[in-house]
Amino acid sequence: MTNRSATATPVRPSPRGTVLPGEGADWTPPSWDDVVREHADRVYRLAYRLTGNPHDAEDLTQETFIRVFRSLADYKPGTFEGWLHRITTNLFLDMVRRRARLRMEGLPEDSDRLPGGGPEPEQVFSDTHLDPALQAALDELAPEFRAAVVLCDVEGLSYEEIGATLGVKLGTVRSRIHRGRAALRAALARRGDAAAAGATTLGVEVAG
Amino acid sequence: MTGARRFSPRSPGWGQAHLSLDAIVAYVDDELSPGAHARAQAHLDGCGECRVEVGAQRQARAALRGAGGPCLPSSLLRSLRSIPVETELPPMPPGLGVTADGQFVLLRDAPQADPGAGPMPCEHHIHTSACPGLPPAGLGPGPVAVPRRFSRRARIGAVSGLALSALAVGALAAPGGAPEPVAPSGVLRGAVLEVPARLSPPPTDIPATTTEVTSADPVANPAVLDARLRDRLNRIPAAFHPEP
Repeated sequence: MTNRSATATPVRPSPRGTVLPGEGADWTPPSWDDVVREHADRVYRLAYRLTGNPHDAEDLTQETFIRVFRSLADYKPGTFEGWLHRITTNLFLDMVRRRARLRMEGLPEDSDRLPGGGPEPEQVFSDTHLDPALQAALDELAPEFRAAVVLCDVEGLSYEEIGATLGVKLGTVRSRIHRGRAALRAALARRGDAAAAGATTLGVEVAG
Repeated sequence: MTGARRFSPRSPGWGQAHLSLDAIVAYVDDELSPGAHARAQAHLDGCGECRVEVGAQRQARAALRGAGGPCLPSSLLRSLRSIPVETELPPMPPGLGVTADGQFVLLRDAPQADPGAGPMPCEHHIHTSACPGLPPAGLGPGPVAVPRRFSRRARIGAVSGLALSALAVGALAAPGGAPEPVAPSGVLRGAVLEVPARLSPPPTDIPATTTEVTSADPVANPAVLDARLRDRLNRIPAAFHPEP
């Protein structure tokens, strides 16, 4: 049948290549495969940075796409990425709260793949080539702060988009990012990782 | 941005005051209005303390932005692709019923009524209009009770897009998912009670027939797997039709 690349000549493609209804007369809807191919990497990266370990990241990614699939009929053309960010982040925060509750109730110790409590970092990061000190420092942040910082510095969202994703006001976004970054930097420094904390020069202002 | 006033230094005296922390972070992320940015810049030019703050924020920002991302495991990619085949559907929303001849009806007067009232769900019928391309014989020979889950799937497949969207809303509250619904539009739009009391399958569909299935186990019976797949595909909204 029709192939999207063969027939679609969108009048005004959206930034990431997803052509939305109404943007072109000959718009061809994406298949589920298209949706997965185009967004799975981003969702997984976000999930990984939020949860801090591959196992939870996979679970979170899977759950996000299941949620997307179930809610497709409800999806209104708009920013698909924004929708994905919102689902992923909120599922993550739900997961954190659920596990915190379990802990409070003194339930199974082995349900312990909490952010920061996952597999041995060295193992994880030798597998994935991610900077272990950086992820460990991220894991030290409170989940709400981590989410704000990750959405800003990993996903590159604007403050407004972050506010919409987390359902908080701009002032809260600014303060979470500021405090999150400050804590992140302190954690990096405490870990004595000269490469992470020191390699980046402080910037022209300080030098001068 | 609205920041002209908000991002002013904390007190008017440029000499001693420092930029607020909000202003520092917004300056680093270039989220200040041009006017506020210029004022912040002017302050930074003369204030070493604030420059240190800015440098610290930039350092953390650069550490994250410069870090690589993980690679998506191929096993995860496979399982994401198979979601349309594997995902269980939510139960029927309250107020939606199926008559004995396979028609969907909305119970306008008794949306909260107990399941015993109104038309009964037909547990033993598979509405073949859910699988237009599938010959009924392909479902397999022999009379065997169809598992509730499967028959429900097939029935849902014939609902119009309107009812489908209501079903999707129901999915948010389904016990199988995460406890708190987070999707953007978790609001039941009231469509269920406002549409005509009777929904018929689309006219192009094959007329409802009664079909039986030998085994619902997709491994034992490839035809069932095929039927499930077609059923799932049929229920994907028009905007997301899968590739053939």
